[in-house]
Amino acid sequence: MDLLANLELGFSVALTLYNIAFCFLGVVLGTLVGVLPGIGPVATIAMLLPITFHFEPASALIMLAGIYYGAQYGGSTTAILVNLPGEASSVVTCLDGYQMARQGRAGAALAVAALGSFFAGCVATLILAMFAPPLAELAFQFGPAERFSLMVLGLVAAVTLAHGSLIKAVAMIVLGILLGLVGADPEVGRMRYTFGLPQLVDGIGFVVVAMGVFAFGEIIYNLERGSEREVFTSKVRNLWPTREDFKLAWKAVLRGTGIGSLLGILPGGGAVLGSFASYMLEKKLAKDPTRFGKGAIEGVAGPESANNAGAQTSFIPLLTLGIPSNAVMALMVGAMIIHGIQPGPQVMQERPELFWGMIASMWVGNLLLVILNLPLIGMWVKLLSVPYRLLYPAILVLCCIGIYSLNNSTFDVGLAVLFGLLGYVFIKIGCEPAPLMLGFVLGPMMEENLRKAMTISRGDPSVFVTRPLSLSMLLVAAILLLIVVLPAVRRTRQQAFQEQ
Amino acid sequence: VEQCAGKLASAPHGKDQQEAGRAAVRSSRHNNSGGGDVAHRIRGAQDFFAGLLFIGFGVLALYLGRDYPFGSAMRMGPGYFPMVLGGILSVLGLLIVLKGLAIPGPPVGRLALLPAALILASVALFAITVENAGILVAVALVTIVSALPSGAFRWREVLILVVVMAALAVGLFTKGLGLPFKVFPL
Repeated sequence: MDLLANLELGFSVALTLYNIAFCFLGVVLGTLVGVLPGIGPVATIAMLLPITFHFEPASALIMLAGIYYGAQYGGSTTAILVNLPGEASSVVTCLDGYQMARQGRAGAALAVAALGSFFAGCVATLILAMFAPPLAELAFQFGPAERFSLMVLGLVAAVTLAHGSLIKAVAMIVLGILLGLVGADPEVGRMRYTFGLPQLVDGIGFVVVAMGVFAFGEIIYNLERGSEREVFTSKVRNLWPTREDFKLAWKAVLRGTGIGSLLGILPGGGAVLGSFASYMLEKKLAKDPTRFGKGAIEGVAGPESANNAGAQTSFIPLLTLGIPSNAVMALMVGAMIIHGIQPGPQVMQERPELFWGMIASMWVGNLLLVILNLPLIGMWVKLLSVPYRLLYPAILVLCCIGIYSLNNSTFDVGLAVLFGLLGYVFIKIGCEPAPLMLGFVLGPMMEENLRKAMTISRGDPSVFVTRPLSLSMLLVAAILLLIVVLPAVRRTRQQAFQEQ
Repeated sequence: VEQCAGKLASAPHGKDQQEAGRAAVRSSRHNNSGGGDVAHRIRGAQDFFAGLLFIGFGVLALYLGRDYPFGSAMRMGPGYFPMVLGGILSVLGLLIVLKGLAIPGPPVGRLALLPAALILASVALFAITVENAGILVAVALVTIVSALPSGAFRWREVLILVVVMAALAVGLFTKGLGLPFKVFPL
């Protein structure tokens, strides 16, 4: 069977000592930023992106992927012990996880979260390995028109599934695309929006935007809120869940894995959506829903499995279609481009060792994570007592070094200051930065494919609706928009009411 | 007078929204002290200002792109895509402004001007000093200046952090990864 041969190739790459070391480094860093509130995988990956230039491409991607799914493990620790989501995807884990900790069952909650994540991670990686090749096969039949429609679908799905205001998310995408167009026009070389600056000829650096809007903006916002936190320091005892716990949890883990994998594949999905959906599902299916919020173990097991499954399967659109489905995946595009790899279906054929090595490394990484998060949990708990006032200057130093070293350019660092200001403004006016990032990454590709498609069709825009694949993607996008528009109105109204 | 107008406008939408409207007016008055009459008319301050920002960027894109060759649908020039997007962004911005005027929403809240200025200044200082004064000075400046607005600044603690970060910058990044940093000022 092909799959086995491919996985064998993958493991031959992932199991070299060099790559195991990078995988380990990635998951340790991921757990670290997952545990620490105030810094997430997006900022971390952006920070390390320039440095990965000095590594082998496969090792670099293995490490960066490890940061993302490692953060899903780490986030649960903080949620359970401190009642603070270390990551956005652990928000719902706080509800029941912290209650379990208060009842002296922190150990059981942590163990179920880690074991559920491990199971989910292994299954989702298998799904990734099975479904990626046929999808990539399909993607090979795409012409410029299909690729353009696919990107439209990806962007539409990303805004409709994201939380917050729909129209602002669309505007952020458009702004992102415009920022992506800065630099020399790819066809005729005409300078666009460069203000006569030679440093902008190649466009605005991807890392510059990501660090500015995610890392700098976030730090200022955290300082404004004053994030001194109370740490739950009591010892974690009794790590092993009881028989009763297992009986309640295993079905929730299965369901969480399913729902998380499914929602992770969708553009705009990823880890966050799955964890919310799983919590709601568990609450609905429970015989006694009133236990939820008071330390129900299913409320930890389901969402934690779902977020890890989602983190893993969200690699599918990136690796098969070349479309990033969330901000982390947008950064992965950046990482691949730094190494001269154009993300898309051809990666699987041209660089099989890279593709399958990365997938195989996810099993290795998940195994490492269970070890890191169960026997060594005490270490991470101690880490929670590092105050934010010492953490953020260190993050800033690493960001500065990262931005500068990408092109050895002080101009880039200065530009990041501007984007940092913009990032803070975005937070204050309620604009999510993730759609901007997606637009920024996809913008140049969209323009290129639009131009090609229109040239081929001799200026006839109907090409997008007469080709069946392109039409069906646009239809799905339209349906998604339609579904969301009405509830979006309701949702924003609800938000307004909550302000009272 | 403004408040009355607001109430009248929201009356047809039912009681709930009226309440929300009043809450928004209350909160915007609370947060935008000195905002005057305008603050009363803006019901979703976040949306209102977000819309203005988008209009600003949209119009800027249209203005700067006015001379780029537009081309035709068949042969799109460098100006085609950006001009269309600039137009879309301006329209979206306008819609968001209107939404901010009509529908109650969260206020912008107080701005942390001093932390924002110091954090961004620390990064700018890095850009200015790293090539002239070297990585040690640059790292020390970023650490100290950015630590100032932490709310609990202690020299001893910050100096230890400076030493750790400087050691990391030289040991790991310059020597270990071979990044071409100048280490000492001279």
